[in-house]
Formats: sequence, structure tokens, C-alpha cells
Amino acid sequence: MAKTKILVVEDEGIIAKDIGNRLKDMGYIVPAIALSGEEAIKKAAEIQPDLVLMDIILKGGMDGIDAAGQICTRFNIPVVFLTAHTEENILQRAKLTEPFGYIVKPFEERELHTAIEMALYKYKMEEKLRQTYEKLKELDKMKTNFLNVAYHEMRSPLAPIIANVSLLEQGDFTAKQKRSVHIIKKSAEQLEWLINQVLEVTRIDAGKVKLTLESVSIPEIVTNALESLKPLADAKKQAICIDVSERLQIEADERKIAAIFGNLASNAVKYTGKKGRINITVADRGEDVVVTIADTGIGISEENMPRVFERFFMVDTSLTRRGGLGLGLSIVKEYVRLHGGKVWATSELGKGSNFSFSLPKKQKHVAI
Amino acid sequence: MKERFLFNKGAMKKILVVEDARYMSETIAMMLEESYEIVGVAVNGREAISKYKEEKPDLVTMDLVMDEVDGIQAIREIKRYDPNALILVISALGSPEQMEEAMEAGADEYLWKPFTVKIIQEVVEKLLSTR
Repeated sequence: MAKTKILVVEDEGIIAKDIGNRLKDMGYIVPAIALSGEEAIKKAAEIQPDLVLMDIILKGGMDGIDAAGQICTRFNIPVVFLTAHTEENILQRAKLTEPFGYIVKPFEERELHTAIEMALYKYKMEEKLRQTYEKLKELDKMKTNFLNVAYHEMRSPLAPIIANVSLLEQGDFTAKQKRSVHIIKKSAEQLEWLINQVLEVTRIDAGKVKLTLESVSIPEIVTNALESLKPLADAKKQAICIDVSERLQIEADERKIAAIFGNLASNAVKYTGKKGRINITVADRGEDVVVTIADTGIGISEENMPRVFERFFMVDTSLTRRGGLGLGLSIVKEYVRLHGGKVWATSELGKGSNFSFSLPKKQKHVAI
Repeated sequence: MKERFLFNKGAMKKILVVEDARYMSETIAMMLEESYEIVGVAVNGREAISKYKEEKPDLVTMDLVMDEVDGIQAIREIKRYDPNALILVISALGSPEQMEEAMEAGADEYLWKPFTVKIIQEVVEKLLSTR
């Protein structure tokens, strides 16, 4: 292995020479000595030493701490301070440059030697970690890109499937065949919905999701969403109560508001048992509106509550769970945020959950 | 002259399908062939432009993401050649931003994949009725 190159920074020429000689005796190479902070940076760039031994109080405009900070950030070279100063403020400033050691003068040779060896070892370990981190980051990026491509590819055969099912629906079939066509259609639609959710999350991450503002009727959103949930709610004999003023309009992105409400209402129906109750209230508070969906379902434990809006989080990850990707509430949160609103929840395990969101009636600015 | 006029009136309107996925172009053709004459299928923007010039169709269904010349370039080129061209964008991969770009390039209407036969027939009929 090549010998370790150490750059000595010390403004007293005689002391610098002495340190240099002692380092050479220990088996290190001292290719240069810098007498000021500016020179230290210049030499570090030229020589690319394995380590810099840095005095703190230096003549000239730049002290050792400033020079160490630059050497660390610009060249990623480990620095060990060698100084007579142990004042708290100096120590605190030195710490900010993330040094690999701090030796107090006068020092013993053994002490200097072990400190340098430890610093070199720590630096090597840190490098390894950094490389692993970079590698993982790269792999994560590749995986994200791959998933993005994969989901797009999975989506494209769906278009001809759904289109051809609609052609088949016009055909003259027996009741059984019609049922088959219906099942293919519903399954393809379900698959499309799942893929779209994943793609929406990748679009959110890329900052591509923007609002298209128009006048949105809240009662209409509620009615439309409940219409598509009716079959499941009816099958469970659930009672759905709605309290909303007839003509409540807000300035918003209609598709996103429909997705927000649809998601929360569908969760309420999904997680509420037979003969349960779901209350939907829309409160006009002047500046904004607050929509609350209260159910008498399974509820969420206190432990899980802080995480329900987190992406991928699912209360139940067993295979017998009730379906979905664990993305719905994270998308809801993002859509509400884009509108400058808030979403929150309260719940009692076994009793039910309340999910609410507020939306300003007028958009002052478009959030990014 | 009168007879020719009647003949023309009864003739089917012509549609050019631009779509690089074979099953999709075939499906679009199947959905429209009862009421319209499918004059060709182009698999990229370059083909779309040359077939447009050859066939002078009444309407073009246009995919956006394609090899070589993409849909947006093709829309620009076709509209430059014939400002009265009627172009319906049908895309799955296109983001809302790309759809917007397509409309700015001169497309007359857009449709997201997946779609149903009812929707495409309605949109095509509505578009052609404006001419």
C-alpha cells in the first residue's frame, strides 16, 4: 500500500518543520507544509493528501477552521485539528466542519500517531458508507424508472381489452356469455384503476400534478360518488345520511375533488359492517368548506392513526385484507394540499372513524 | 351534376387511423368501419402525414406517443398542410400536459384510452357534424 500523504498546516515555520519530521519518523509522507489557510486550500487541491493536519489560529485572513471547512466540502479530505486552543466557542465552530480528530498541543507522538490512524480508518469507513449510499440511491432511481415504464407498459394492453369488451357488449349473447363479458369488463376496469393509482403517485413525486380550476358543485360530487358506492352499501344494508346545502360551489379541480371524496366515502363503506351508519356533512364556514365522513366501522387504533395518510401504509397487510394498494389516503392528502386545504381524522377502535377535509372556496394561488 | 351530388352525399366519410399498437388500430377500425370508410392505418407521424396527403380523409384519429415523428409533430404538420383537417387525439401514455400540447398544436378533440365504442362513436360523429 502506498504511504499516507499528510499535509501540515501551521503558521510557525519551526513548529511546522518539527511536526513534519516527526510524521516522517512515523512512516508518513509530508509532501508539503502550508503556512496559511489560503495556502492550505491551494496545496490540498494540488497534492490531494490523504489527511490534513490543521492548526486553528493562523496568520492571514483565513483561520484553520474556515480552511478545514472548505477542504472538507470541496475536496472531501479528512481533517484533524492540532491546536493549543480548547475554548468552547472554537471547539463548537471546529465541530461544524465535521473533523476526524482534535489533538491538543502539546501532544505526545503516540497520541498523534493513533489519532491519525483512527482518523484514516474512520474516513475509510465513511467512504464505504457513502459509496453504498450512492449505489443504493442509484438502484432506487433505476427501480423507480423501471416501475414507471412497467406500469405504463401494463396499461397499454388494457385499452384494447376495454375497447373490445365494449364492442362485445353490443353482441347478441346468451345470459351466461353476457355475464362473462361483464366480469371481464369489471376486472379490466379494476386493473386500470390500480395501475392509475400507482402512476398518479409517480406523477406526484415528479411534481407533475397540477390543478385545473373550475367551479365545482360539492353536492354534485357527493351524489355522484355515492351513486357508484350504492351497490356495495345496499348489499351491506348501510344507512348513508347526507347533510349538504343544495348549491355549494367552490373553485377547485373537479376530478381531484371527486377523487378525494370518492376515496374517503369508499373507505367508509368498505370498513363499515352490515347495518352500519355513514354520516356525511358539509359545513360552509364562509372562507372554506369542511366535509366530514363519519362511519361506524372498524375504526383505527391510536397507534396506527398517525400513519394512515402515509404512502404504502396499511393497517392490515395480511392477504385476507380488504384490497387496495395503501396509496389512496396519501393521494387524498396530496390533492387536498394542492388546493391549500387540510385533511385529518379521528377514530376509536371498534366504534368508527371520522375523516374530514377543508377546502378554501377560492384559490388564491396554485400550490406547487 | 345532381346525380353526382347525391352520390357524394351518400358516400361514407373517410377516416385515417394513426396508431402504433396493432391491436389498438384494429380495434379503432372495427369500432368505426360500419359508419365510416377507414382509408388507412399509419403507425407513426411520418406515415400519418403522407397518408393524409394521399387520402385527404375527413377525420384523423391520432396517437401521441409513437416512434420517429410523434403525434404532436404530425398534428402540426397536417394542420399546416390543411388548416381544415379534423384531428381526434386518442392517447393512453400522454400526460395531461401532452394532451394540452396536442390541443395547442391544433388537435380538435381528445380521448383518453381506455375508451368504449359508445364514446368514440359519439365523439367522431360530433366532430364530423361540425363540417
